[in-house]
Amino acid sequence: MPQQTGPIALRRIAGAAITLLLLCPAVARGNFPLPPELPPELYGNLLISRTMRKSHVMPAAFSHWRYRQKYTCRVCHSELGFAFRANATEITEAENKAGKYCGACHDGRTAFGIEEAQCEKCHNGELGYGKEKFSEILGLPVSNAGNRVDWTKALEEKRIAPATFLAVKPSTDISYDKTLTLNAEWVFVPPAIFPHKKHTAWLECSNCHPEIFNIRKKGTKHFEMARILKGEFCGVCHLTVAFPISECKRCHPAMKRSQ
Amino acid sequence: MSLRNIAWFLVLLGFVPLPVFVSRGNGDTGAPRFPVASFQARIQAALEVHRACAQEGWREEFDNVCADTDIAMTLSKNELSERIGRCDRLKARIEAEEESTRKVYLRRLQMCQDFYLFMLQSKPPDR
Repeated sequence: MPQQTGPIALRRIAGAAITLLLLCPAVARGNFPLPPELPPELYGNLLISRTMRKSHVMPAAFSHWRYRQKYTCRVCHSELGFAFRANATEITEAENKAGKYCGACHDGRTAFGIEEAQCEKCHNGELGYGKEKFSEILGLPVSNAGNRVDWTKALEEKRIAPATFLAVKPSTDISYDKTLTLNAEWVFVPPAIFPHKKHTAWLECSNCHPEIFNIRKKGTKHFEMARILKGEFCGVCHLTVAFPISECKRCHPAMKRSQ
Repeated sequence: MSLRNIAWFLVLLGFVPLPVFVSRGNGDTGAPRFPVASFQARIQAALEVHRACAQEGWREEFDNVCADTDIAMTLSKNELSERIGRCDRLKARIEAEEESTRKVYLRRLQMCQDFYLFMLQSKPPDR
């Protein structure tokens, strides 16, 4: 068969390259084992059961979507000292009753108190406990995954006004708003962007630096998808509470498709 | 200072009378009566006030130091080093507190100090 030369061959090569370029994000996505999609009312829910087995108490159910309407992440994960990883913080009844952890709000004034009659409101062992209240957030800006709520937009549009502190007022609004552009591991996958401002609206700098992102140590090249999917880096929040990893385009905005 | 501490302070100064249990000396020998319990209560009050003030002192210092993480990027190297030093001093004071306070505040303090250190190390070297 005679070899094609000239403009026809060039056109074919260009066509193949364009096809490859369009397919790559989808191929890349296929290579990453994304976690199974949860019903919207279960996304961000967890059972706190660190000491329950020992004390024969049902695990406590916690829905992030119920709390994040009222409090930013920093309130619990900085001011109250809850670790990001579920069950990494030992929370005892005595501490709650002394006004620490859940007891900072569940004191009978701000929220129901820690009394025997109220136990089952938290210690019910049901991941979906309180899902009937999910309809309250259905009017918020819509997203394609997770709780199906665009929480960032809801905050920016002032549709929700979560408190940023309980007792310790941050000295000022975080003014750092640099947006980082991070090259993807795959040549054909467009870069990821990281807007600090959207994150500092919810979090404090020390929530992420240096424990989760110690860019001083190794730069940013090791923020690989495989590690993110194991719960490191962005995966600390974006696998469990913040919009899920399957929303490719929200981090890689130049992607042609995110399905 | 909380109401409880003010109350202790008043007791300490003698503005609030305490029930006096007098240690009876040997009346026969005419030994003087000495209000031991009252004296002890006032000493205890003094210690209580001291403890409460010390605790409030570290809480205030903790809030002041850790509230600045949000502006850490605007702080100079000297200011960051100064805050790291304050965190070190606070650590020693929090370690003297009861267990749950230690658990909550040492973790928060560590986050705060690590961040200042991170910012300090991220600063370009002085020319």
